[in-house]
Amino acid sequence: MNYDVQNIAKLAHINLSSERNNMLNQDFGNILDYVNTLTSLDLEANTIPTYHTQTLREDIALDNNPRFSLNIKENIIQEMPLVEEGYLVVKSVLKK
Amino acid sequence: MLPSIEQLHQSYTNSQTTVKKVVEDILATIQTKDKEINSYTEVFNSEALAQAELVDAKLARGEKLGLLEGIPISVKDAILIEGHKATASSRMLENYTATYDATVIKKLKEAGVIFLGKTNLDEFAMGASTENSAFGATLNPNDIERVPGGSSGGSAASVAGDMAVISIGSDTGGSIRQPASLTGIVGLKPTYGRVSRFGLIAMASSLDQIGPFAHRVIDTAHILETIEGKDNMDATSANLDTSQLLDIDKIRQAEIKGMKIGIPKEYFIDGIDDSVRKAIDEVIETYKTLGVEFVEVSLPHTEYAVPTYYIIMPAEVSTNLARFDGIRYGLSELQNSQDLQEVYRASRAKGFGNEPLRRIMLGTYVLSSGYYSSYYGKAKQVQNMIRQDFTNVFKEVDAILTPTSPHTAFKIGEKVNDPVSMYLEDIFTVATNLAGIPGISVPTLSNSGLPIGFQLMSNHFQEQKLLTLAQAIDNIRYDKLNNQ
Repeated sequence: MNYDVQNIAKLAHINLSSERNNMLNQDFGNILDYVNTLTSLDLEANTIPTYHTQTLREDIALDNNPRFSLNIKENIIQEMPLVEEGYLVVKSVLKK
Repeated sequence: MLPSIEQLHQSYTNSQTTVKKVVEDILATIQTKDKEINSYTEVFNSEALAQAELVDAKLARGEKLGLLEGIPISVKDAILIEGHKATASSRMLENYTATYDATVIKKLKEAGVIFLGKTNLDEFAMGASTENSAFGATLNPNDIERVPGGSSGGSAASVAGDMAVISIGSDTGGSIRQPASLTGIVGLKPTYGRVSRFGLIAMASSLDQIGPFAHRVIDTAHILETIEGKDNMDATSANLDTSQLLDIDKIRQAEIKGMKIGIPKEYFIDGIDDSVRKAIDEVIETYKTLGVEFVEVSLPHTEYAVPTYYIIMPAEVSTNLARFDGIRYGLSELQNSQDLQEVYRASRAKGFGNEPLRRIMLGTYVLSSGYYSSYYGKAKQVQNMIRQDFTNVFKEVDAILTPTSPHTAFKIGEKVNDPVSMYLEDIFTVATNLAGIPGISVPTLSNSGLPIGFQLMSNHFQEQKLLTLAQAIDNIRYDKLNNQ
C-alpha cells in the first residue's frame, strides 16, 4: 500500500499545509487499513455484471427553460468571483 | 411536542388557531432555544410570517386548504431554495445564494408549506455527528452534552427540539436515519430514484437521497407523497407505477397481521449496547403480538458494507467536489493567486474543512491509475453482491428489522479525532444506500434514558409496506404517551 499524500493533493488540486499533511498521513493509513478488508474477499466467482443498467434520458437543452426564473442568468453572474461585461474572468489558461 | 401535520391542518380549518400564531410561536422557540442547540444556519423570520398571513387570508376567505398548507418546515442547508444562502455548512459556500429551487422545494412550495429556515449539517453532508459543520456543532435537544447524529443533525434537532414540524434532509449512508434515531424522531430514506435529487448539493450521486423527518410516521408518508416522482432534471429519478404509490389510509390503519419480518443474523453482533438490544427485543415482541411473523435471515456480505461504502462514496465525492474550483461560484482566491492552478489549489485549500479534504483525497487515491480496479472496481462488484443479498432475502420477507445505530447519542468530541470510529457509525445504515432500497428509523417503545431507534428496510419502491409496519409501532407508542 503506497501512497504519497503530497502527490494525491497535487492530483486533487489542493494546497496542503504541513499540519494537514501530518493529519492525512496518519488518517490515510488507518482508513486504508480498514477499507482493505475488501481484499480478503474472493471475487473470482462473482459474475454479476457491474455495467450501468439504467436507461438515461436524452439530454435536451431548452432556452428559457420554464423550470428556472427569468433572471437566472443574472443570478448566476451575481455568484461569479470576477465579471467583466457579463463575462466570467479567469486567469490565462495557456502560459505566455 | 409540536402537533402533527394532520392535527395542525385540523386546527387551522376549525379556526382553533391561526397559521400566524403557530409560526410566531415556533419562531419564538427558535429565538430562545436555538442559541444553544444551533440547529439552524438561517431563519426566514419575516418571510415565514408573511407566508403564514397569506394562508390565514385564504382561510378567512373561506377557501379550502391543502393538507400541507401552512405547515412549518425546515430544510437541510444542502438543498437549494432560490434567493437564500445554500452553504452546505462549508466555508466554500458561505456566501453562495441559490439561483434556483430544488425540485423538492418547488413541489413543497406548490403544496403551500412554510419554510422556517435552513438547518445545520456536517460539511457537505460528510459526518455522523454534525460536529464537522464550519458554523459550529449542533447539540442534541435531549441532552445538550451529546451529538444529534449526522449529517442531517440540524434537521433532526429542529424537529426533536420543537423548532419545526417537519424537516427535509438527505441520506447518503445514514444521514437521515441515524440522527432520527439519536434524537427520538422518525426519519425516512426513500428508494434511490423515488425523489428527485435536483437541487441537492451532491455528495455521492449514486447513493444520495432526499427524505423527511417528523414525529409521526404518517407525516413522513404525506411528505413523501408530495416530493416523490419522475423529474426531467434528474436522470436517475423514477416513474412510479400505480402499485408503488402510497395509500395513506391503509398506512394509518396499520393492518400488519400475517406480514413477515426478517432479522439478519449478521446485524446482531457484539458491540450493540444492552439498552439498544433490549429496546429492539421489545419492538420485536410487540410486532409478534400484532400477528407479524419473524424469521432469521442472512445478508452474508454485511461486514463488507462499510468498507465498500468508504471507497465508492469518496470516489464520487472527489469527482462531485471538483466543481468547487474558485472559478464560477463559491469561495475564490482568484484575486490572491498568480496563475490558474493556484486559483484552484488555494481556493480549495481554504474552502474545504478537514473531512471533505480527507474524502476528496481518499477518492482521488482510489480512482488513480494503478489503484482503480483494486479499490473502486472491486467495491462496485461487492456493492452488487450486497444488493443481491437483499434481493434474495426480500423473496422471503416483507421487511428487515435492525437497530438504526448500535448505541444512543454519544458525547460531543468523543469521536471527532478518530475518522474510522466515526465511519463505523454508519454500520447499520449504509447497506440500504448501496442496495438503493428504502429504510426508515422509528423510535422504539423504550421511554427511559436517551432515544433509541429501530430501522426497517424493504425492497425497492415498497415504501407502502415499510410505512405500514412502522405505523403500527408508532400508533402503540403514541397511545402509551397519551395515557401517561
